[in-house]
Amino acid sequence: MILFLMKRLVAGAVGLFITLSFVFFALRFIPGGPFDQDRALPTEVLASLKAHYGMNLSLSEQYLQWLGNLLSGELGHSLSHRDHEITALIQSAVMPSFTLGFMALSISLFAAIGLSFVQVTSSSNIIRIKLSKFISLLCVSMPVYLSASCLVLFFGIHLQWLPTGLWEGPASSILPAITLAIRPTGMIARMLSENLSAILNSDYVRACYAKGLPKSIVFLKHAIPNALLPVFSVLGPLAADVMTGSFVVESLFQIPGLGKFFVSSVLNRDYPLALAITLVYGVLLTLTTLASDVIAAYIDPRFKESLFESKQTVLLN
Amino acid sequence: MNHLSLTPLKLLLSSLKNGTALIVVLVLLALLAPWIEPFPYDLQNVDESLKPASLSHWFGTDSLGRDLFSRVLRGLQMSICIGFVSAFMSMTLGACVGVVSGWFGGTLDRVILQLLDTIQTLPSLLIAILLTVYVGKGTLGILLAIAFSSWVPLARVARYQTLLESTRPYVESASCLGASDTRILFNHVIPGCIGTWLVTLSYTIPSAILSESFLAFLGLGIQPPYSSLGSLAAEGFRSMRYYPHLTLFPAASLFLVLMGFYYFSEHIKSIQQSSLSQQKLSHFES
Repeated sequence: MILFLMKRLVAGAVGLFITLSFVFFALRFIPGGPFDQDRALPTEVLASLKAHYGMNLSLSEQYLQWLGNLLSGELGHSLSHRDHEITALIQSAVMPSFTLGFMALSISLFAAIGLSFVQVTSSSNIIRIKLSKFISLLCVSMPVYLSASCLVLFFGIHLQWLPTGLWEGPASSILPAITLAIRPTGMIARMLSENLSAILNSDYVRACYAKGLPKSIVFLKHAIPNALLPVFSVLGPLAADVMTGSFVVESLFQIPGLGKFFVSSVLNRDYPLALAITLVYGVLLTLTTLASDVIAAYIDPRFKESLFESKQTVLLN
Repeated sequence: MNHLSLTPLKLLLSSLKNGTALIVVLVLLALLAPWIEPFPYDLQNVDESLKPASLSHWFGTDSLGRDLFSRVLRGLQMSICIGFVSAFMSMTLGACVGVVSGWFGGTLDRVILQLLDTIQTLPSLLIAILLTVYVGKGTLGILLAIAFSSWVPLARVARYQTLLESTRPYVESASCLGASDTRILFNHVIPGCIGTWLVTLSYTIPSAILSESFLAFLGLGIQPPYSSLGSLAAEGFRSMRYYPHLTLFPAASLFLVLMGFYYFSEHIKSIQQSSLSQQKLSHFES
């Protein structure tokens, strides 16, 4: 187990290193620079600015310097947010993003379980098959613009219950979290209902019914844990999906999170900040994928064997 | 006689259920946009700006007085086009890499797998942002960006499918008969994979349309005077508080497009799965 963890961590670190190097050079080859302004700066000012940020060196020297700083834990200074250390910037941005992501994933997990509970316990066939499929597809194909504007217009402006943006207090996180949760809800619900239909026809569920357990107990104690297993193993890709959504949702709701910083840093050619956020995202994704594999292995021993035997772990579809 | 006359109705009902009808209507609207649109999509009429939905302007007008319904039709055209082309591009790329990796195996396979893992640690939107900024904001840049940010899962599917197909009995018998590797690959393995690829392709189309709408929000999508459903919805969102029709109509149309395509993909998937299980059954029977 420890050997496996080490292996995966080393592979993840190597992958991250390649990714970061790629992003480093890709950013530099984009036309435009961090000090471009509407009015051209005098050449002396530009030269001294570049010298101050170490950008007068050749590209390979800059790369080595950045690598050395990275290894000693220095992320450098932001170019667009003057006088701000990147570590401080990221510390301030991490909290909103993580809270949002975590809330969205939990909401979607519970909503999906609730949805499949209704689906399983309802007696009418139409609700069981058509409606649940309709709702899960509706969630998957809901664009954030539609859900965000409907939520804001109704709860924020019409009823005035919840704030419509910014990051002030727990109430302001509700609307963005729901917006972000809609798509994963549909995805998890679809996976759950596919797994459930196989599980509910299996022998052990029939045995549970035979000994007289009520439907809800069979569902919550016997069917759901087994149906959730494959969901845990795709938690990594799902987290990536939530992240992509958060880029836009954070901008829609004016939340000072990582996604918003990232987009503005790439557009402003703020190289160090963009690289630092890529690092945070990469570490996060690698760890989530690893954690979801480990959790799945602990819950289901069958998965453990396949995990250790072959490297091909997460197979979508 | 009676049941024959019912068949078209049944067909219509079943196609309504699986989303085909929705897609056909939307694609027709998109194709016929130049003839359907009540006003030219770029006709500006400042006297009529920011009007809510009315009988003359079905979806209202935008800040320059352009008819929103006509713009949504044009946006539909662009979105569907982006969806098809970029999904096809990423499918081609993913299939090539996946087949090479699965067919040759060994060190090459391991290198490619590691590469895919690495690319997956990047948020796909990051790749898209970098590419659109690098290639430029034209339509080609957007197509490339979406294709390059979505091909990794497709490559995995293609690789897995190639591995699976190449262990099938008919491939073995072909090689026993002395068929060359290229012949087996192109005449037996790849045709066997295509069904699954088509299913994956049908799921990629709506997600490509969705990616474009994300890019549009960051200002990297389709540039004016052209528009996509995503760019219209994103643009409208900025003034959502005062002129909700500017974002609600395009976003709702986007939702319909996505819904149609997802329903259609589910339908194709179920067809393919049932044909697979039939194959298995006949395999056991013989």
